[in-house]
Amino acid sequence: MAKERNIFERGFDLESFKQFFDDHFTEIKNFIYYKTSAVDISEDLAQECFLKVWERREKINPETAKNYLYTVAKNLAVDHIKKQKSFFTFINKKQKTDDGETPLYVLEEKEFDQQLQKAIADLTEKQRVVFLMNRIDDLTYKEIAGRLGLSVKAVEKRMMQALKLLKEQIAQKI
Amino acid sequence: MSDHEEKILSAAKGWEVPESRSKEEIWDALEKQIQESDDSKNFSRVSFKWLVAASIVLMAFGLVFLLFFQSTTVETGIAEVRSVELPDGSRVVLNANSRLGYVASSFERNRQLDFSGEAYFEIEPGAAFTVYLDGVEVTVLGTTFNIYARNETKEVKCMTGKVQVSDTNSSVILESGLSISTSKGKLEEVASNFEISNAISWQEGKFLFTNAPLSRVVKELEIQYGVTVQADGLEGRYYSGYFDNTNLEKAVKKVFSPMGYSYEISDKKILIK
Repeated sequence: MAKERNIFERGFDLESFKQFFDDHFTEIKNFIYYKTSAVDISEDLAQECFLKVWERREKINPETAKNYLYTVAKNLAVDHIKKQKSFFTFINKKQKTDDGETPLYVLEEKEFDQQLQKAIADLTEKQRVVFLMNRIDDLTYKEIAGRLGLSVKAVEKRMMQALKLLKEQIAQKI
Repeated sequence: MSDHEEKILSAAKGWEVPESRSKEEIWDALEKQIQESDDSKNFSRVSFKWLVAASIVLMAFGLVFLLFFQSTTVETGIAEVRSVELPDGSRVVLNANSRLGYVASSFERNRQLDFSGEAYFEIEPGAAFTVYLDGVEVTVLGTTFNIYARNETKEVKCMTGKVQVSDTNSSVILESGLSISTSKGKLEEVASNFEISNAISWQEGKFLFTNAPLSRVVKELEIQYGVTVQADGLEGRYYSGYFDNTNLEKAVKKVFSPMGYSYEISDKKILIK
Protein backbone atom coordinates (compact mmCIF):
# COMPACT_ATOMS: atom_id res chain seq x y z
CA MET A 1 0.00 0.00 0.00
CA ALA A 2 2.74 2.37 1.02
CA LYS A 3 4.61 1.58 -2.18
CA GLU A 4 1.60 2.19 -4.39
CA ARG A 5 1.08 5.52 -2.74
CA ASN A 6 4.65 6.36 -3.42
CA ILE A 7 4.31 5.57 -7.10
CA PHE A 8 1.19 7.66 -7.20
CA GLU A 9 3.04 10.60 -5.78
CA ARG A 10 6.07 10.54 -8.00
CA GLY A 11 4.65 8.99 -11.16
CA PHE A 12 6.58 6.39 -13.12
CA ASP A 13 10.25 5.84 -12.83
CA LEU A 14 11.96 3.66 -15.39
CA GLU A 15 11.57 0.57 -13.24
CA SER A 16 7.88 0.94 -12.55
CA PHE A 17 7.33 1.92 -16.15
CA LYS A 18 9.01 -1.28 -17.34
CA GLN A 19 6.63 -3.20 -15.08
CA PHE A 20 3.72 -1.30 -16.56
CA PHE A 21 4.96 -2.12 -20.04
CA ASP A 22 5.32 -5.81 -19.24
CA ASP A 23 1.84 -5.94 -17.76
CA HIS A 24 0.01 -4.19 -20.58
CA PHE A 25 2.01 -4.23 -23.79
CA THR A 26 0.55 -7.37 -25.28
CA GLU A 27 -3.06 -6.49 -24.59
CA ILE A 28 -2.60 -3.00 -26.09
CA LYS A 29 -0.83 -4.33 -29.14
CA ASN A 30 -3.56 -6.96 -29.54
CA PHE A 31 -6.28 -4.35 -29.09
CA ILE A 32 -4.84 -2.32 -31.94
CA TYR A 33 -4.47 -5.43 -34.04
CA TYR A 34 -8.16 -6.29 -33.56
CA LYS A 35 -8.95 -2.92 -35.01
CA THR A 36 -6.37 -2.62 -37.77
CA SER A 37 -5.53 -6.23 -38.71
CA ALA A 38 -1.94 -5.14 -39.34
CA VAL A 39 0.80 -6.68 -37.19
CA ASP A 40 3.52 -4.12 -37.80
CA ILE A 41 1.19 -1.16 -37.34
CA SER A 42 -0.18 -2.55 -34.09
CA GLU A 43 3.33 -3.01 -32.73
CA ASP A 44 4.46 0.46 -33.79
CA LEU A 45 1.37 2.14 -32.41
CA ALA A 46 1.53 0.20 -29.15
CA GLN A 47 5.11 1.37 -28.74
CA GLU A 48 3.99 4.91 -29.43
CA CYS A 49 1.24 4.62 -26.81
CA PHE A 50 3.78 3.73 -24.16
CA LEU A 51 6.08 6.53 -25.22
CA LYS A 52 3.20 8.96 -24.81
CA VAL A 53 2.50 7.66 -21.32
CA TRP A 54 6.18 8.08 -20.46
CA GLU A 55 6.29 11.61 -21.80
CA ARG A 56 3.26 12.54 -19.72
CA ARG A 57 4.30 10.48 -16.71
CA GLU A 58 4.36 13.50 -14.43
CA LYS A 59 0.74 14.28 -15.20
CA ILE A 60 -0.58 10.72 -15.30
CA ASN A 61 -1.67 8.79 -12.27
CA PRO A 62 -0.12 5.33 -12.73
CA GLU A 63 -3.33 3.79 -11.45
CA THR A 64 -5.31 5.17 -14.35
CA ALA A 65 -2.45 5.01 -16.85
CA LYS A 66 -3.90 1.84 -18.31
CA ASN A 67 -7.11 3.64 -19.30
CA TYR A 68 -5.06 6.44 -20.79
CA LEU A 69 -3.17 3.81 -22.78
CA TYR A 70 -6.42 2.59 -24.30
CA THR A 71 -7.58 6.09 -25.11
CA VAL A 72 -4.31 6.83 -26.91
CA ALA A 73 -4.44 3.49 -28.69
CA LYS A 74 -7.98 4.16 -29.89
CA ASN A 75 -7.01 7.56 -31.24
CA LEU A 76 -3.87 6.32 -32.94
CA ALA A 77 -5.62 3.31 -34.48
CA VAL A 78 -8.45 5.35 -36.01
CA ASP A 79 -6.37 6.36 -39.01
CA HIS A 80 -5.40 2.77 -39.69
CA ILE A 81 -8.76 1.07 -39.58
CA LYS A 82 -9.51 -0.22 -43.03
CA LYS A 83 -12.83 0.49 -44.66
CA GLN A 84 -12.71 -2.69 -46.74
CA LYS A 85 -12.94 -6.15 -45.31
CA SER A 86 -9.70 -7.09 -43.62
CA PHE A 87 -8.09 -10.44 -42.92
CA PHE A 88 -7.05 -11.59 -39.52
CA THR A 89 -4.50 -14.22 -38.80
CA PHE A 90 -4.01 -15.79 -35.42
CA ILE A 91 -1.50 -18.36 -34.34
CA ASN A 92 -2.65 -21.45 -32.56
CA LYS A 93 -0.47 -21.68 -29.48
CA LYS A 94 -0.78 -25.47 -29.39
CA GLN A 95 0.30 -25.97 -32.97
CA LYS A 96 3.10 -23.46 -32.84
CA THR A 97 5.37 -25.86 -31.03
CA ASP A 98 4.78 -29.20 -32.86
CA ASP A 99 5.00 -28.63 -36.57
CA GLY A 100 6.48 -32.05 -37.22
CA GLU A 101 3.68 -34.54 -37.64
CA THR A 102 0.23 -33.36 -38.57
CA PRO A 103 -2.32 -35.86 -37.50
CA LEU A 104 -5.84 -35.65 -38.79
CA TYR A 105 -7.24 -33.84 -35.77
CA VAL A 106 -4.60 -31.16 -36.15
CA LEU A 107 -5.59 -30.65 -39.77
CA GLU A 108 -9.20 -30.40 -38.76
CA GLU A 109 -8.35 -27.94 -36.07
CA LYS A 110 -6.44 -25.79 -38.57
CA GLU A 111 -9.33 -25.78 -40.92
CA PHE A 112 -11.68 -24.74 -38.16
CA ASP A 113 -9.31 -21.98 -37.13
CA GLN A 114 -9.26 -20.62 -40.65
CA GLN A 115 -13.03 -20.66 -40.89
CA LEU A 116 -13.33 -18.93 -37.56
CA GLN A 117 -10.74 -16.31 -38.51
CA LYS A 118 -12.66 -15.51 -41.68
CA ALA A 119 -15.86 -15.24 -39.67
CA ILE A 120 -14.16 -12.92 -37.20
CA ALA A 121 -13.23 -10.62 -40.05
CA ASP A 122 -16.95 -10.36 -40.82
CA LEU A 123 -17.80 -9.09 -37.35
CA THR A 124 -18.17 -5.40 -36.73
CA GLU A 125 -15.07 -3.82 -35.24
CA LYS A 126 -16.79 -3.35 -31.87
CA GLN A 127 -17.95 -6.95 -31.67
CA ARG A 128 -14.58 -8.27 -32.74
CA VAL A 129 -12.64 -6.21 -30.22
CA VAL A 130 -14.79 -7.36 -27.33
CA PHE A 131 -14.82 -10.98 -28.42
CA LEU A 132 -11.07 -11.22 -28.86
CA MET A 133 -10.22 -9.27 -25.71
CA ASN A 134 -12.27 -11.79 -23.82
CA ARG A 135 -10.93 -14.84 -25.61
CA ILE A 136 -7.30 -14.08 -26.43
CA ASP A 137 -6.42 -11.63 -23.70
CA ASP A 138 -8.48 -13.47 -21.16
CA LEU A 139 -10.12 -10.33 -19.83
CA THR A 140 -13.40 -10.46 -17.95
CA TYR A 141 -16.39 -8.43 -19.13
CA LYS A 142 -15.78 -6.08 -16.22
CA GLU A 143 -12.16 -5.60 -17.20
CA ILE A 144 -13.08 -4.98 -20.83
CA ALA A 145 -15.77 -2.52 -19.78
CA GLY A 146 -13.22 -0.62 -17.70
CA ARG A 147 -10.68 -0.48 -20.49
CA LEU A 148 -13.11 0.59 -23.19
CA GLY A 149 -15.16 2.91 -21.00
CA LEU A 150 -18.31 0.85 -21.52
CA SER A 151 -20.86 -0.66 -19.19
CA VAL A 152 -20.57 -4.35 -18.44
CA LYS A 153 -23.99 -4.73 -20.05
CA ALA A 154 -22.77 -3.25 -23.29
CA VAL A 155 -19.79 -5.59 -23.33
CA GLU A 156 -22.07 -8.55 -22.68
CA LYS A 157 -24.33 -7.49 -25.49
CA ARG A 158 -21.47 -7.19 -27.98
CA MET A 159 -20.10 -10.55 -26.90
CA MET A 160 -23.49 -12.18 -27.45
CA GLN A 161 -23.86 -10.57 -30.87
CA ALA A 162 -20.37 -11.70 -31.82
CA LEU A 163 -20.97 -15.25 -30.75
CA LYS A 164 -24.31 -15.39 -32.54
CA LEU A 165 -22.84 -14.16 -35.81
CA LEU A 166 -19.84 -16.49 -35.57
CA LYS A 167 -22.10 -19.47 -34.97
CA GLU A 168 -24.15 -18.58 -38.03
CA GLN A 169 -21.05 -18.24 -40.21
CA ILE A 170 -19.52 -21.48 -39.05
CA ALA A 171 -22.82 -23.34 -39.39
CA GLN A 172 -23.10 -22.27 -43.01
CA LYS A 173 -19.66 -23.63 -43.76
CA ILE A 174 -20.24 -27.00 -42.17
CA MET B 1 -24.09 -23.82 -24.41
CA SER B 2 -23.99 -25.73 -27.69
CA ASP B 3 -21.09 -27.80 -28.94
CA HIS B 4 -20.55 -25.29 -31.63
CA GLU B 5 -20.38 -22.39 -29.29
CA GLU B 6 -18.04 -24.30 -27.02
CA LYS B 7 -15.77 -25.04 -29.98
CA ILE B 8 -15.67 -21.44 -31.13
CA LEU B 9 -14.90 -20.11 -27.70
CA SER B 10 -12.16 -22.61 -26.96
CA ALA B 11 -10.57 -22.32 -30.39
CA ALA B 12 -10.19 -18.57 -30.06
CA LYS B 13 -8.88 -18.95 -26.54
CA GLY B 14 -5.91 -20.90 -27.87
CA TRP B 15 -4.83 -18.14 -30.23
CA GLU B 16 -2.34 -15.40 -30.06
CA VAL B 17 -1.67 -12.44 -32.27
CA PRO B 18 1.26 -12.95 -34.64
CA GLU B 19 4.26 -10.72 -34.11
CA SER B 20 6.93 -9.20 -36.30
CA ARG B 21 8.93 -7.85 -33.39
CA SER B 22 9.17 -9.49 -30.00
CA LYS B 23 8.03 -7.72 -26.86
CA GLU B 24 11.69 -7.49 -25.76
CA GLU B 25 12.75 -5.90 -29.01
CA ILE B 26 9.97 -3.36 -28.72
CA TRP B 27 10.92 -2.58 -25.11
CA ASP B 28 14.51 -2.02 -26.19
CA ALA B 29 13.37 0.33 -28.93
CA LEU B 30 11.07 2.12 -26.51
CA GLU B 31 13.80 2.48 -23.91
CA LYS B 32 16.02 4.06 -26.53
CA GLN B 33 13.27 6.53 -27.45
CA ILE B 34 12.78 7.32 -23.77
CA GLN B 35 16.44 8.08 -23.32
CA GLU B 36 16.53 10.22 -26.44
CA SER B 37 13.47 12.19 -25.43
CA ASP B 38 14.85 12.64 -21.90
CA ASP B 39 18.23 13.65 -23.27
CA SER B 40 16.72 16.22 -25.57
CA LYS B 41 14.58 17.51 -22.71
CA ASN B 42 17.58 17.77 -20.43
CA PHE B 43 19.55 19.34 -23.21
CA SER B 44 16.93 21.95 -23.82
CA ARG B 45 16.62 22.59 -20.08
CA VAL B 46 20.36 22.97 -19.74
CA SER B 47 20.64 25.15 -22.80
CA PHE B 48 17.74 27.27 -21.58
CA LYS B 49 19.54 27.75 -18.27
CA TRP B 50 22.68 28.63 -20.14
CA LEU B 51 20.76 30.99 -22.33
CA VAL B 52 19.34 32.78 -19.32
CA ALA B 53 22.75 32.88 -17.64
CA ALA B 54 24.41 34.10 -20.80
CA SER B 55 21.89 36.84 -21.35
CA ILE B 56 22.22 38.04 -17.74
CA VAL B 57 25.99 38.18 -18.13
CA LEU B 58 25.57 39.93 -21.45
CA MET B 59 23.17 42.47 -19.98
CA ALA B 60 25.55 43.10 -17.08
CA PHE B 61 28.39 43.64 -19.51
CA GLY B 62 26.19 45.87 -21.59
CA LEU B 63 25.27 47.93 -18.55
CA VAL B 64 28.89 48.27 -17.46
CA PHE B 65 29.82 49.10 -21.03
CA LEU B 66 27.12 51.72 -21.20
CA LEU B 67 28.07 53.24 -17.86
CA PHE B 68 31.73 53.05 -18.63
CA PHE B 69 31.75 54.26 -22.17
CA GLN B 70 28.72 56.44 -22.11
CA SER B 71 29.66 59.79 -23.34
CA THR B 72 28.78 62.92 -21.47
CA THR B 73 27.30 65.67 -23.55
CA VAL B 74 27.15 69.28 -22.58
CA GLU B 75 24.96 71.46 -24.72
CA THR B 76 24.15 75.14 -24.52
CA GLY B 77 21.05 76.73 -25.93
CA ILE B 78 20.24 80.14 -27.27
CA ALA B 79 21.96 82.96 -25.38
CA GLU B 80 23.49 80.51 -22.93
CA VAL B 81 27.12 80.62 -21.84
CA ARG B 82 28.27 77.85 -19.59
CA SER B 83 31.55 76.91 -17.96
CA VAL B 84 32.32 73.20 -17.73
CA GLU B 85 35.03 71.53 -15.73
CA LEU B 86 36.33 68.37 -17.36
CA PRO B 87 37.40 65.28 -15.34
CA ASP B 88 41.10 66.23 -15.72
CA GLY B 89 40.52 69.70 -14.29
CA SER B 90 40.56 71.49 -17.62
CA ARG B 91 37.93 74.15 -18.07
CA VAL B 92 35.80 74.83 -21.10
CA VAL B 93 33.57 77.84 -21.47
CA LEU B 94 30.87 77.14 -24.01
CA ASN B 95 29.26 79.93 -25.98
CA ALA B 96 25.59 79.65 -26.97
CA ASN B 97 24.42 76.84 -29.26
CA SER B 98 27.48 74.72 -28.68
CA ARG B 99 27.94 71.09 -27.96
CA LEU B 100 30.68 69.17 -26.17
CA GLY B 101 30.97 65.40 -25.86
CA TYR B 102 33.42 63.18 -24.00
CA VAL B 103 33.68 59.84 -22.21
CA ALA B 104 33.97 60.74 -18.54
CA SER B 105 35.17 57.35 -17.27
CA SER B 106 38.28 57.24 -19.44
CA PHE B 107 38.81 60.94 -19.90
CA GLU B 108 41.88 61.31 -17.71
CA ARG B 109 43.70 58.61 -19.69
CA ASN B 110 42.26 59.64 -22.99
CA ARG B 111 41.63 63.33 -23.27
CA GLN B 112 39.36 63.54 -26.29
CA LEU B 113 36.44 65.79 -26.97
CA ASP B 114 33.93 66.09 -29.74
CA PHE B 115 32.99 69.65 -30.25
CA SER B 116 30.97 72.04 -32.34
CA GLY B 117 30.13 75.65 -31.68
CA GLU B 118 32.36 78.12 -29.93
CA ALA B 119 34.32 77.62 -26.76
CA TYR B 120 37.27 78.82 -24.83
CA PHE B 121 39.57 76.13 -23.48
CA GLU B 122 41.90 76.20 -20.50
CA ILE B 123 43.75 72.91 -20.61
CA GLU B 124 45.52 71.44 -17.61
CA PRO B 125 49.04 70.31 -18.49
CA GLY B 126 49.27 66.59 -19.12
CA ALA B 127 48.87 64.07 -21.88
CA ALA B 128 47.73 65.08 -25.33
CA PHE B 129 44.38 66.78 -25.34
CA THR B 130 42.49 66.51 -28.60
CA VAL B 131 39.39 68.29 -29.76
CA TYR B 132 37.61 66.85 -32.78
CA LEU B 133 35.79 69.32 -34.98
CA ASP B 134 34.19 67.20 -37.66
CA GLY B 135 37.26 66.61 -39.81
CA VAL B 136 39.68 68.89 -38.00
CA GLU B 137 41.67 67.93 -34.93
CA VAL B 138 43.06 70.39 -32.43
CA THR B 139 45.76 68.82 -30.27
CA VAL B 140 47.32 70.62 -27.32
CA LEU B 141 49.50 69.83 -24.38
CA GLY B 142 48.60 72.51 -21.91
CA THR B 143 47.36 75.85 -23.05
CA THR B 144 44.43 78.14 -23.52
CA PHE B 145 42.73 78.62 -26.83
CA ASN B 146 39.45 79.50 -28.41
CA ILE B 147 37.63 77.41 -30.97
CA TYR B 148 34.93 78.55 -33.31
CA ALA B 149 33.43 75.61 -35.18
CA ARG B 150 30.05 76.35 -36.68
CA ASN B 151 28.88 74.89 -39.98
CA GLU B 152 31.77 74.94 -42.43
CA THR B 153 33.88 77.42 -40.52
CA LYS B 154 36.47 76.19 -38.06
CA GLU B 155 38.65 78.74 -36.36
CA VAL B 156 41.25 78.19 -33.67
CA LYS B 157 42.86 81.04 -31.76
CA CYS B 158 45.76 80.17 -29.52
CA MET B 159 46.10 82.36 -26.41
CA THR B 160 48.97 80.69 -24.59
CA GLY B 161 51.23 77.73 -25.29
CA LYS B 162 51.02 75.82 -28.54
CA VAL B 163 48.19 74.18 -30.39
CA GLN B 164 48.42 71.71 -33.22
CA VAL B 165 45.59 71.87 -35.74
CA SER B 166 45.25 69.05 -38.28
CA ASP B 167 42.88 67.90 -40.92
CA THR B 168 43.27 64.87 -43.15
CA ASN B 169 45.77 66.63 -45.39
CA SER B 170 47.84 68.97 -43.32
CA SER B 171 48.88 69.99 -39.87
CA VAL B 172 49.75 73.42 -38.45
CA ILE B 173 51.26 74.33 -35.12
CA LEU B 174 49.85 77.55 -33.74
CA GLU B 175 51.74 79.61 -31.26
CA SER B 176 50.13 81.99 -28.86
CA GLY B 177 48.55 85.03 -30.40
CA LEU B 178 48.00 83.30 -33.71
CA SER B 179 44.85 81.92 -35.22
CA ILE B 180 43.96 79.59 -38.01
CA SER B 181 40.72 78.94 -39.81
CA THR B 182 39.40 76.43 -42.23
CA SER B 183 36.57 76.85 -44.61
CA LYS B 184 34.95 74.00 -46.46
CA GLY B 185 37.36 71.49 -44.97
CA LYS B 186 40.54 73.23 -46.10
CA LEU B 187 43.03 74.47 -43.54
CA GLU B 188 43.90 78.02 -44.25
CA GLU B 189 46.53 79.68 -42.20
CA VAL B 190 45.34 83.11 -41.27
CA ALA B 191 48.14 83.69 -38.82
CA SER B 192 46.65 87.04 -38.03
CA ASN B 193 47.40 88.60 -34.75
CA PHE B 194 44.40 89.16 -32.57
CA GLU B 195 43.62 90.76 -29.31
CA ILE B 196 43.21 88.00 -26.77
CA SER B 197 40.71 89.93 -24.71
CA ASN B 198 38.64 90.53 -27.83
CA ALA B 199 38.74 86.89 -28.84
CA ILE B 200 37.27 85.71 -25.58
CA SER B 201 35.06 88.68 -24.80
CA TRP B 202 32.02 86.56 -25.71
CA GLN B 203 32.41 85.06 -22.26
CA GLU B 204 31.33 88.38 -20.80
CA GLY B 205 28.48 88.76 -23.23
CA LYS B 206 30.41 91.06 -25.56
CA PHE B 207 30.87 90.02 -29.12
CA LEU B 208 33.77 91.67 -30.86
CA PHE B 209 34.52 91.34 -34.52
CA THR B 210 37.45 92.45 -36.56
CA ASN B 211 36.84 92.28 -40.24
CA ALA B 212 34.51 89.32 -39.73
CA PRO B 213 32.17 88.11 -42.49
CA LEU B 214 28.78 89.73 -41.87
CA SER B 215 27.11 86.33 -42.12
CA ARG B 216 29.05 85.21 -39.06
CA VAL B 217 27.99 88.31 -37.12
CA VAL B 218 24.36 87.60 -38.08
CA LYS B 219 24.73 84.02 -36.88
CA GLU B 220 26.05 85.22 -33.53
CA LEU B 221 23.11 87.63 -33.21
CA GLU B 222 20.73 84.77 -33.91
CA ILE B 223 22.15 82.45 -31.29
CA GLN B 224 22.60 85.11 -28.65
CA TYR B 225 19.08 86.46 -28.93
CA GLY B 226 17.23 83.43 -30.29
CA VAL B 227 15.98 85.33 -33.31
CA THR B 228 15.99 84.66 -37.04
CA VAL B 229 17.50 87.23 -39.31
CA GLN B 230 16.24 87.54 -42.84
CA ALA B 231 18.77 89.19 -45.07
CA ASP B 232 20.04 88.92 -48.61
CA GLY B 233 23.29 89.98 -50.12
CA LEU B 234 25.48 89.65 -47.06
CA GLU B 235 28.21 87.87 -48.98
CA GLY B 236 31.40 89.85 -49.37
CA ARG B 237 30.50 92.21 -46.54
CA TYR B 238 32.76 92.36 -43.50
CA TYR B 239 32.08 93.85 -40.12
CA SER B 240 34.29 95.32 -37.48
CA GLY B 241 32.69 96.30 -34.24
CA TYR B 242 30.80 94.74 -31.39
CA PHE B 243 27.43 94.12 -29.83
CA ASP B 244 26.41 92.77 -26.46
CA ASN B 245 23.69 90.48 -25.31
CA THR B 246 21.67 92.93 -23.21
CA ASN B 247 19.41 94.64 -25.75
CA LEU B 248 18.35 93.21 -29.09
CA GLU B 249 17.43 96.48 -30.77
CA LYS B 250 20.68 98.14 -29.73
CA ALA B 251 22.64 95.14 -30.94
CA VAL B 252 20.90 95.07 -34.31
CA LYS B 253 21.42 98.79 -34.68
CA LYS B 254 25.10 98.51 -33.80
CA VAL B 255 25.65 95.91 -36.47
CA PHE B 256 23.50 97.05 -39.35
CA SER B 257 23.31 100.86 -39.18
CA PRO B 258 27.02 101.46 -39.82
CA MET B 259 26.80 99.16 -42.82
CA GLY B 260 23.98 101.12 -44.40
CA TYR B 261 21.18 98.67 -43.84
CA SER B 262 17.75 99.43 -42.43
CA TYR B 263 15.94 96.88 -40.29
CA GLU B 264 12.58 95.90 -38.91
CA ILE B 265 12.23 93.96 -35.69
CA SER B 266 9.00 92.10 -35.13
CA ASP B 267 8.91 89.62 -32.29
CA LYS B 268 11.63 87.08 -33.01
CA LYS B 269 12.17 88.05 -36.62
CA ILE B 270 14.45 90.65 -37.98
CA LEU B 271 14.15 91.80 -41.55
CA ILE B 272 17.18 93.48 -43.04
CA LYS B 273 16.81 95.70 -46.07
